[in-house]
Amino acid sequence: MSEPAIAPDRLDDYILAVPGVDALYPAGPLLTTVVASVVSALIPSVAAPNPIVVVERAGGLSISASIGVGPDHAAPDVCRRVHDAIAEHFSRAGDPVIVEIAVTVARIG
Amino acid sequence: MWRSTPRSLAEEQSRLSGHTIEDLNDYLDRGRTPSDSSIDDSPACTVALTRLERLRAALRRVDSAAVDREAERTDGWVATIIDSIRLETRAGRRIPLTSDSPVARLALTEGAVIGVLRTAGDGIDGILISRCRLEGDVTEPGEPITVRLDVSVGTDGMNTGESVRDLTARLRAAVYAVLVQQTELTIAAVDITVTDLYLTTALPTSEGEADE
Amino acid sequence: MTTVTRLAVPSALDAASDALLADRAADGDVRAFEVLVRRHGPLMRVHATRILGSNDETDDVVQESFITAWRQLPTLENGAAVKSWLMRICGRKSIDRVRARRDHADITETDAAAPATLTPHHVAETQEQAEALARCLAELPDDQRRCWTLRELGEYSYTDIAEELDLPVSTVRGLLARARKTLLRELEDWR
Repeated sequence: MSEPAIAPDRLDDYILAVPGVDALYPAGPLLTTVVASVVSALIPSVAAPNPIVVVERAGGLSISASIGVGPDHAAPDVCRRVHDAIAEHFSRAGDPVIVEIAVTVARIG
Repeated sequence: MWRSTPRSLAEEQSRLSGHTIEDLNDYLDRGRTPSDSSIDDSPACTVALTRLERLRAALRRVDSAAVDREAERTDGWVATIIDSIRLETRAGRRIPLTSDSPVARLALTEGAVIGVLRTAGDGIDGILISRCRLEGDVTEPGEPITVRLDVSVGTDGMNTGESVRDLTARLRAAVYAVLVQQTELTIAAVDITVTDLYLTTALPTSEGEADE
Repeated sequence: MTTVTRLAVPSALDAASDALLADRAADGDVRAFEVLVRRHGPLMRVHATRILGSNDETDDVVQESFITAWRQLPTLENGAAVKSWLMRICGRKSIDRVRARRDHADITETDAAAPATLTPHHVAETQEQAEALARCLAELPDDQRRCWTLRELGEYSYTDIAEELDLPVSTVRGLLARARKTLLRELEDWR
């Protein structure tokens, strides 16, 4: 399987550009069912821990992100849009097999 | 380890009618109760008690001056603390959201929902939500959920002629609206308990009305 | 339902009770927590500085205390007791620092210097007296000053101080008595 070709910090920007998203949180224990090896999400030059966790599992990639939603947006819609943005990002970055995209809204408003 | 030498202790006791400074300090700590006539009737003890009380008063001034100085600091120590905890959100349970995508695993945290309900309460003058609980299995789509809110009510938020019940009805409506917009939960009820009531305007100053 | 009636308050959260703020912070409200930090942080800073003997590590200790508090707030049963709970956390963190320092340096009487905050002013006599007392307090031997601040600011019982500092209660009483004598003597000089 190919590694994601685009650096995850770009993915950060991509997610933050989704209307309604105003923060990314470090993926907490609520999300991380890290069974396999952590791929390139833990990139070099880590000033802050990367909030997006990409895990390589048997069947493909599992991606987790935890977001904050700004006021005046419906969190479920924003959450679905973030899922779509992640899916689109990876399909343009070599289209690896994805088994899971987990998006959690950790804060609203 | 330090102890009074027996001689100095004996001197102190003979001077203070059989008591030590420590006894007298403990007596003050107890608020001079039960009263002890062997202390109260001794002029030497009275003088010593006065000294101890002067010391306490002076040290209270020292402490409050030190606290005031710290409170005036403008070096951003509060911001540093807040920044360091801001990313530690309280997640609670995972509340799933529906999706058409077979690979999607979407959710709200319980903490996010509680937070947005709190904000809704703050949007109503006179209401402060203190505690918020989602009762029922929020991890199971479609399960009936009861929202329990403990609130503090200030009468300044009430419109003329409005009762506490009217105000909580406004809160209930606001909470329902937020739940519909922000979650996919099935709400069975929103239970509001007023745990605290603040009066706006000072109580009438006419005599005999100030019953707390 | 219990209803408590109190007098009016100007701005909602700033004037809210400790109990309400603690409940909200336990539920994850950062704003409520910030009000608690502003309300009780200054006293905690004084407490930490006195136990540590200088303000070099005060920022760190108080920050650590609040981070611990944020994490443990959901376990605090009585929100109204949040002040003394915070003071306990702060006291313990400060003592831990002192212990760590001892392990490194192997000396018991460190940092005899008076805090930098105590610059002399020529003002009213009561203030001079207060400053002289403050200096006297700051210059007490470390163990006496620690017992004193745990007792007076932390509102610990003698037994609690003994447990916290791992000393016999009799020693704690002795240290407090010595500190009191020194402070009384200082006060007498202002007669």
